[in-house]
Amino acid sequence: MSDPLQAFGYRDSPYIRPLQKWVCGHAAEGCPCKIGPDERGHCRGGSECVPVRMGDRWLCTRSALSGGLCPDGPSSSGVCCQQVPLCRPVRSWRGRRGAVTKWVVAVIAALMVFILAGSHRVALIDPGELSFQHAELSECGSCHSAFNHGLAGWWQAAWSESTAVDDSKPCIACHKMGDRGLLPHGLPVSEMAELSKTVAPATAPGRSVGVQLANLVFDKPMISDPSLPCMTCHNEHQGAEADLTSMSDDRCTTCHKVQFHSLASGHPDFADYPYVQRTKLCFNHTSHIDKHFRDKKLAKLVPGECRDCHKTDPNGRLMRVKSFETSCGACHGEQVAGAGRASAKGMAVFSIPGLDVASLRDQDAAIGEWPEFAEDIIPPFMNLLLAADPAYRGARDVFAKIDDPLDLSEASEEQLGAVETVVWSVKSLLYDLRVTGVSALHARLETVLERPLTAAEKTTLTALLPLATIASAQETWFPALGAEIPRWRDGEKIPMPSEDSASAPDEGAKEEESEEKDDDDDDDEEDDDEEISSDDDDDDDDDEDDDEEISSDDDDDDDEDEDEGDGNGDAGVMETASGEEWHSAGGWYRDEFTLRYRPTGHADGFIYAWLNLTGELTDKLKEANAVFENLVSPKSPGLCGKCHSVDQTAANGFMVNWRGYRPPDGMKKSVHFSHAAHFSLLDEKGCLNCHIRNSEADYAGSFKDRDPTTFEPNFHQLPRQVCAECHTSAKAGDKCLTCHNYHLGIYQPVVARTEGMYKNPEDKP
Amino acid sequence: MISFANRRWRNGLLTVAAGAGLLAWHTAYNVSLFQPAFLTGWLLLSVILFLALYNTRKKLSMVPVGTAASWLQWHIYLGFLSVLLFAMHVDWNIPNGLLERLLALFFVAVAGTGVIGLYLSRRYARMLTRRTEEVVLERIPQFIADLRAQAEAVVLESAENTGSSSIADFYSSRLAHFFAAPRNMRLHLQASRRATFARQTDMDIMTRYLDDQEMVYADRLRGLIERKDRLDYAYALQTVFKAWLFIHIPATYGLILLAMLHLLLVYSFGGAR
Repeated sequence: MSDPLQAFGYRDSPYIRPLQKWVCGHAAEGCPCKIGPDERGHCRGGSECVPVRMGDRWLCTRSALSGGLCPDGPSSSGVCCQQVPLCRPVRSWRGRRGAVTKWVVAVIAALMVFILAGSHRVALIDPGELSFQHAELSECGSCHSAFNHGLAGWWQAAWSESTAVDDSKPCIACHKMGDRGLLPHGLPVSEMAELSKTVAPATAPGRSVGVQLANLVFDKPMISDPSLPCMTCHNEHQGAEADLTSMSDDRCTTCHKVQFHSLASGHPDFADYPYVQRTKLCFNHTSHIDKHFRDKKLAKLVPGECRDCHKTDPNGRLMRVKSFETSCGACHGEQVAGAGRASAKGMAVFSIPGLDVASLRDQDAAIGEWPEFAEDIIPPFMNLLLAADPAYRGARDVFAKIDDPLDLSEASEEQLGAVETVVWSVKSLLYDLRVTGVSALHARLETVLERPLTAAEKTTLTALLPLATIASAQETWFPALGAEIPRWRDGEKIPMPSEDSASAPDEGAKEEESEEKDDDDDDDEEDDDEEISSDDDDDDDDDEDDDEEISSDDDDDDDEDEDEGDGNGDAGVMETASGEEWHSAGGWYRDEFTLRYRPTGHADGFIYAWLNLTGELTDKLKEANAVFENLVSPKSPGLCGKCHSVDQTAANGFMVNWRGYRPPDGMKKSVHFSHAAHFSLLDEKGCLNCHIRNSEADYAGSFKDRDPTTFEPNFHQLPRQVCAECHTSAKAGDKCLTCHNYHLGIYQPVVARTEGMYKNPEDKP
Repeated sequence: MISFANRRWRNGLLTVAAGAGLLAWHTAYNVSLFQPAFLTGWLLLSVILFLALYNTRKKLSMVPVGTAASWLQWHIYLGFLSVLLFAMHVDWNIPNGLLERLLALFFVAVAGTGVIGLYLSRRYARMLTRRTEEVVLERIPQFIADLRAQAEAVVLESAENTGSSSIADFYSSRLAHFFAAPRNMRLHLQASRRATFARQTDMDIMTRYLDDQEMVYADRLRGLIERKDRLDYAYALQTVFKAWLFIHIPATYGLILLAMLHLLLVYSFGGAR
C-alpha cells in the first residue's frame, strides 16, 4: 500500500473547516495556498507568510505545515520572499449549497409576492376546482367573506374565530336554510335535547374504534357547540365530480346517544316508522279489505292491486293516494253527492225559526208577520251571519234559553223582547239579502270575521246563491217584508197582522210545501238530526245500508217519493220535481221554511270554503265553531268528515286534511325512502312484504281526538330485518345517509331572485 | 452502548407506534367533526421546523442541545413520521390547487431526497470505506493534480533513463486524459470496474514490449493509475453524497416559506376551528 494521499495530523494537513465557504483557486492545480480565501471569497495570497519585526530584523513566520522557516527569510523591507501567485477562489460544496439555498428562497419569496400582489392571484391560490354544482361561482368573494377586503382583510380573517361561520352564511343564504341552518340537524337546541330523550335503544352494542376513540378523547363534542359550519362536512374545491355530501358513518355516530355498528347489527328497531303520523285521509284498510272488498256485489269495483289506489310521487319516493275519482269514486262518488241519503240531502243554511205565533199575537208582540207553521231552529250558518247584528248578539243567549219557542204562552217580558229582536234580525237578514244581494252576506261575514273576504271566498262562501231562490223564499215567507223593514227601521212598531189576514201566506206556503215534500221527509230529517247528535253506533250500519243502496240501485224511499209525486199529479199543473231532487247535481233550493244547499259532489267548493274558514276560527268564534262542527260531522251532507281527518292546529283551530299526505316541496325528513327503487325487489307478497296488516288495530278510533300524533295504523311495525337483509355494506349499502337526511326541515331549491327584473332601469325593454 | 441494529429496531418501533397514535388521533379528530387537516397541518409544520433545526444545530456545535448524532436520529425518524403526516394532511390524494401542488412538490422533494440521503449515507459510506482511503472531497482535485504530476515525472524519468518513448507514448495517448481530472463518474456510481480493467488491459498489452528497465517505470505508473482510479471512485461517490443536499436543504426552506403562505390562506378562507 502506498503512502496515504491525505494526512490528518494537524502538523501534516491544513484544517478545512466544515463551514468554510471558499477554497483556494490553486487547489485544483495541486498547490493551494496555506492561508486560503477570506469569508467573502477574496484571495489572501501573495506570500507564504507575514513576516514580523523583531527589533531591527524581520523574521519569517511560515508555519511548519508549509515547510517552516524559509532559508532566505524576509527581505530587508519586511516582504516575504516566498511569493504565491494570486488566485480566483472557488466556492466550497457547502458554499455552493448555501448559494443555491439563497436563490431558492429568493425565488420563492418573489413568487409569494407575485401570488399575493399579482393579477393572477386568484388562479394561483385557487385551492382546486369547485364541484359542478357550484361551478358557476367564479368570484371567490361569493363564499369567502374576507376575500375582497385585501391582504389586511385576509390577515384579519386569519385571526378571526368566526371565519368558518361567516363563510357558511353565503351557503345557507342560497340554500335557504334559515336561521337554524348551522345548528346540528337544523333543529333548535331544545328540540335536539328532547329528541335525544326519546331515542330507541340499540339492539346490539357496538361501535367502531374511531367512535370509541372520539368519545374517549373528545366525548360528544358537538352537543354543546351552537353551530356547525358547512365546511365541517362539505369540503369544496375537491374537483368537479367530488361528492360534497359524502360522510362517514362514524361522523354521524360519534355525536349520537345510541351507537351501534350497522343497520343489521345494533340499529334500533323502527319504533313507528313509517307510520309516524296519522294518515290525512281516514281510510280503513282493514274494514275495506276484510269486509267491503269481499262483498260479491262490489267485486267489479274492488282494486286489483295496491297501485290501483296508490302511486309514487314524481321522485318515486312517497306512495301517494290517487284521486278520489280513481280510488274512491266508483263506490262513494254518488254517496258524497247525497244519493241514498235518508235525511235531507242539502244542508240548512237559512231557516225561519219556529215561534208560538198565537201567543205572540195575544201578547201584542211587535214582530210584524211571521209564518205560523215554521218549526225550524236557526241553523249554524245563519247564526253566524246574524252574529254581525249587535242586537241579535245581545238577545241570542236569552232566546237560546227558551225551552220551546213554539210555546211562548208563559214567556217572560225579557224572553218576548229577545224573540222580538231575533225576529227582526232574521227579517233584516233576508231583507238585506233580497235588496242588496250576496254582498249583504259578504258584509256580515266581514263584520264577524273582522277582516275582508278574498274574491275567491266571496264566490265560494255563497256558492252563487241565485236571486230567484231568495226572492221566492221571501215572497212565500214574508210577503210584506219590503214594507215592514223600512217602517221598523224608522222606529215604528210593527204589530202582527190579525189572524185572518196572516193565514193566507202560511196556507199558501203550506200548500206549496206539500207539493215539494211530504211529511215523511221531515220525519227523516228529524230522525237524522237525532242520529247525528246522538252519535249512535248504529249509524255505521245505516251508512252501510246506504252503500248497499248505491251499489244495488235499490232505493225504496226514492221509489216511494216518485210514487207520491205521481200521486200528486194534476192535469192542469206541470209536474215538477222537488227542490232537492231537481238539484240532484247540487245547488240551492227551498225546503219549506229552510233554504238548503246540496253539495255538488266530491270537492264541493261551498263546503270546502266554509270548513277552511270556520276551522281556523273555532277557538275565537263560537258561531264559527258551530258551523265547523256541523259541517265536519260524518253525517253532514257531503260526508267530508267521514274520510278527511281533522287536525288541531297550533293556533287552537282546526284544519281539515283535504289531501293525502304530501310533504311540502323541499321537505327533508330524517328518513328518506324510495318506493320506486324497491318495486323490482318485491316477491309475490308485493307491498305486504313490508306493510304487514294489523287487523286488530283500532284505526278509526285514532281519528277521534283530532291529534295527528295519535295513531294506530292498519299495519304492524315495519321489521328492521326486512331492510337489513339487503342493506349491508356488501350489498345495497348501509351507510347512515343511505336512508337518513342530515338537514331536517324545508329547503327550497336555489332560484334566481326577481328583484333585479324591475329594480334595474337598464333592463327595461 | 446500544448497537446500530438495536437502535434501528427501537427507533423504528417507536416511529411506528407514534404513527399509529397519529392515525388514531386523526380518526378521533375527524369523527368528532373537527377539521383534521388543521391538526395534521400544524403537526406537519412543527415537525418540518424541527427537522430544519437540525441543520442549524450542526452549525451551532457549541450549544448544548444534544449530540448531532441524537439530532440525526430524531431527524431521520421524525422525517419518516412527517411523510405519514403529509399523507394524512392531503387525505392521501394529490392536492388540487396550484399552490398546494407546489407545496406538495416541495415536500416530496425534501422527503424524497431525505430518504435518498439516508440510503446513501448507509450504502456509500460502506462502499467508500471498503475501496478508498479517507479523503476530503474538496481536496480530491489537488490529489489528482499531485498524482498527475507524479505520473508525468515517472514518464519523463523513464524516457531519460531508458531512451525509449514507449511509456511516454502510452501516457500521451491513453493516460493524459485520465489523469487530467476525475473520470468515469457514471461507471463508478454503478460500481462498475470496466474502465479500470480496460486501462489495466492496455497496460498489460503495452508492457509485453517493455524491457526490464522500462518495466520498473511501468509498475510505478500502474500504481499511480490505481490510486487515481480510487480517487475517481471516491470523488464520484462523495459528489453524489453531497449533491442530494443541494435539493434537500434549499427545498426545505422553500417549503417552510410556502407553508407560511398556505397557513395564511387556509386560516383566512378555510375557517379553522
